[in-house]
Amino acid sequence: MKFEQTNRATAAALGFLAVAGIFAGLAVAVKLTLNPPAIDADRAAERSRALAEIRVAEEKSLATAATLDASRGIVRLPIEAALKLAAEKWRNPSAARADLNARAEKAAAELPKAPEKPSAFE
Amino acid sequence: MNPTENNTFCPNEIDASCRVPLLALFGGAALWLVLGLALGIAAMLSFHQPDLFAGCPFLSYGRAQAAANDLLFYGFVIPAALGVMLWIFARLSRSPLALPLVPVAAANLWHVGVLVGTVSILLGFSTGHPWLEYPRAAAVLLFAAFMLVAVSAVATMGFRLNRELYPSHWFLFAALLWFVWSYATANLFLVSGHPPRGVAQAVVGWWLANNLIFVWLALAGVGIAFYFLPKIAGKPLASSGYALFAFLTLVFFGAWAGIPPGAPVPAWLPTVSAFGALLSLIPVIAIGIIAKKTVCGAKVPCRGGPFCFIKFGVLGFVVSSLLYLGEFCPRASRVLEFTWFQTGVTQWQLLGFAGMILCGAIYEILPRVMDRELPFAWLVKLNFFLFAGGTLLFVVPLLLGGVEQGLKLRDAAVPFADTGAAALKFLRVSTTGQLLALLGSLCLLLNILVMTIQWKLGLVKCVVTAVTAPLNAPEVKS
Amino acid sequence: MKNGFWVFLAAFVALGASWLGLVYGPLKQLGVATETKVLQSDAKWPQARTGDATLGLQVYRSAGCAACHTEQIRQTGAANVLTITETGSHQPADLKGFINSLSSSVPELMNYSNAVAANLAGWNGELPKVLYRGAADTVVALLGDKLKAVGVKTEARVVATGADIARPGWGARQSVAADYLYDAPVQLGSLRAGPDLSNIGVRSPDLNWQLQHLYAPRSLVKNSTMPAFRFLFSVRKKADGPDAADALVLPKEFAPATGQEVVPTTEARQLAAYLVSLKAGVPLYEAPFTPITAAK
Repeated sequence: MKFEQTNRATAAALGFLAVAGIFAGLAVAVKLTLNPPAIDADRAAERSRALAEIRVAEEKSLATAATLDASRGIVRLPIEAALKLAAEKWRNPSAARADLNARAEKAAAELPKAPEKPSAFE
Repeated sequence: MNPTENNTFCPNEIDASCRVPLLALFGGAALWLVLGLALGIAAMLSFHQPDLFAGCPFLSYGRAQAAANDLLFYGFVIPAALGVMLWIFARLSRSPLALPLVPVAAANLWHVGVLVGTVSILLGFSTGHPWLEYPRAAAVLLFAAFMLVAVSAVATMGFRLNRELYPSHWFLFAALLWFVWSYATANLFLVSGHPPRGVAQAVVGWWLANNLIFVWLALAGVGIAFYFLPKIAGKPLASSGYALFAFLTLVFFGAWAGIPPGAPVPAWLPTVSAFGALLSLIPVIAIGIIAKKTVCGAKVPCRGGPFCFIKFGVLGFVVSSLLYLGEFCPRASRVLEFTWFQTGVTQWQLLGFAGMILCGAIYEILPRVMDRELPFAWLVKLNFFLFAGGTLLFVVPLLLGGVEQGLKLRDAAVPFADTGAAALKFLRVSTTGQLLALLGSLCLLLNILVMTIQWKLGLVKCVVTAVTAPLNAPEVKS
Repeated sequence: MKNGFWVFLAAFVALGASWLGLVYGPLKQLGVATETKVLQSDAKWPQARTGDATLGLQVYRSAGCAACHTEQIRQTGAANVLTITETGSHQPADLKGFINSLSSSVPELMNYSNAVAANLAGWNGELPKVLYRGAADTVVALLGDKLKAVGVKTEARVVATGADIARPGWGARQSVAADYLYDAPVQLGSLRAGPDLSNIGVRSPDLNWQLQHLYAPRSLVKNSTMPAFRFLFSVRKKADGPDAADALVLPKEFAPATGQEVVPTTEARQLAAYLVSLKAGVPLYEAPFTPITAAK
């Protein structure tokens, strides 16, 4: 008799422990699933996008080489390449100095005037 | 404890098994009751003498009042109710307490939790949510302690030979589950790293407050009353069917009240609460009818003893619950919301209903469990009149003052300072009532304290006699 | 019943149902809210608070201010109000007759002719004059147009009604869920031992007023029962030279001893910043009203 009673008591206690956590479990489940984005998520996303754009543009302008204005002889070079080129060229200072004025005047040349009639493709 | 052959225990053994757990729970509860009432008086002094605690952050009104309310509920009501529950389960199962050491450890854990929580609030670490001000550390301690006591209670309930469950069983077992579930939910949502956004916090807070102060208190208090009223009156409970009806309607409808009508939330929430509150009138009236039928015609005089306490408590339940549910009526709330009326109703629920029933139950149980008479039996009567008179003097002016304050608040032509002044006259009477209730609670504390000391002295005397007893001759080796 | 299982089931279903309705439902609806749009504007509501004000909310919580102050305004409805601001070249008596004849002849206005006539009875021409105050916005639009046609300037507004709204400065509309989006914890309060604070930043926008009120409430509000929060300030000896910039200027009865000054602590400053940030005067979809624009 006592054995059966003890069994029932243990079952009751264990049952209680088991069900006691139901609502705690529900609360944890709701907290994990109901995760709305932060209130300023839109603004944060927009600013991340803008930052990414800036980074790409920076990367491009710092690490790639390109011709900016062929008619005036203006190019973009990464700094290390420019240093190397300048060091090479200026090993012979008089030769490097020879065309310096001409290059500077070409770079400061005026833009060609716009045509009177706009082209058909504009 | 040697069980007889057919495995029934005599009441003395059952009571003796409850002795230490109940002393631990009741002793702490009585101490917190006295401290809670004292802190409440200190808080209200801010209204009579605003500059009294100007330099002392610990006793400023906001912190002191929150700490006092939590001391009353978590410090006094819950441990006392748990103690009474353990004893009732043991008696109804006709077997000693299962796992008797667990509630002792749990009681100490609980009181440490209450201490940590109270000190945290007074130091300024309150969480800011009503009835949930204890920070996470204290809340975890309280939850763990409650689980331990509940496991012992449920095991005792499971140990019963007679498998029939009485109405007290339903109410009290449901109360155990109810607290564990609502307290865990509210703490996990609100007192955590990522609380819900915005006013959803307030909604969860109102859900918890209703579930604790209305439904849980009703389940525990009525469960205890439905045990003692028939026992003391010598008549069976009015009807098991009515009690089942009251139980089911209480849990199903009572849980929906809570959202105040003027709340800044979508309109469906206060509407649902208003309907829940309206339907909750049914179980309140049913419980009143059951109690009246059980008590009426009983030829037992109460003479200021536990019977008086419990009858007053049940009457307090009916009145305070009707007032509480009335707050959810949109028309009434236009006047009563944000006034002292709500404070008065809450204090009536805590002191005038739960406090009275628990005091009566403690006075009924303690002599049996300790197997000795109360050291100051005449203090019980004094306790009753101080408590009953004090609570009425405390609560009724708050209700009246709240109504007058509310009526003045409705009239925009009345400057705000006048609404406060209107309530102030009533507050002076109310604080006097609080003082009387404090004196009453001192009677309870004195009784329990002296009884504990007498018991411990008795134990010491036992040990001393055993140690200094002359040895039997054969034991002395020659 | 013989089995505790049925009690468990009843309790579970009962509490579970109320959990679904009063915890899960509001979390799904309100817990995922984001900023809303202000009516007739591109601005969003609410604005996140500045650093000091956000920390001030924690001081508010720690001191238990919500025990005496609420931060929610209630409203009983909204009214459409039509006000005559200029009568142009008409005499008040002619205008009265004209309006009354309008309301009895135009079919849409006939139901409201009594209300309008009652408002106009005894009007001696002083402006502005409220012509109609009620629920029908068609009346306001129609009457306003007809009067404009004869050169009478009117103003149509939506105003909230209610005892809280009627108190000056307490707020122009009820509090709605959107107002508390950035609050953690939300301090709605449940007792008005002190006035409601949801619009205190508009009523008393001066930081120094807030600081002085915290240090000595009775120096600014006679017979106030608010306790003095002197522990938020430090009284120290005045340094030689000019007064400290942030020392409080107090009337004689509340000033400290000579040679001493009262300086707010960081917490006092944060609390004052929080209080000054409490403004709720923007119209929203759920609580529309016509804001009062500055006089031209």
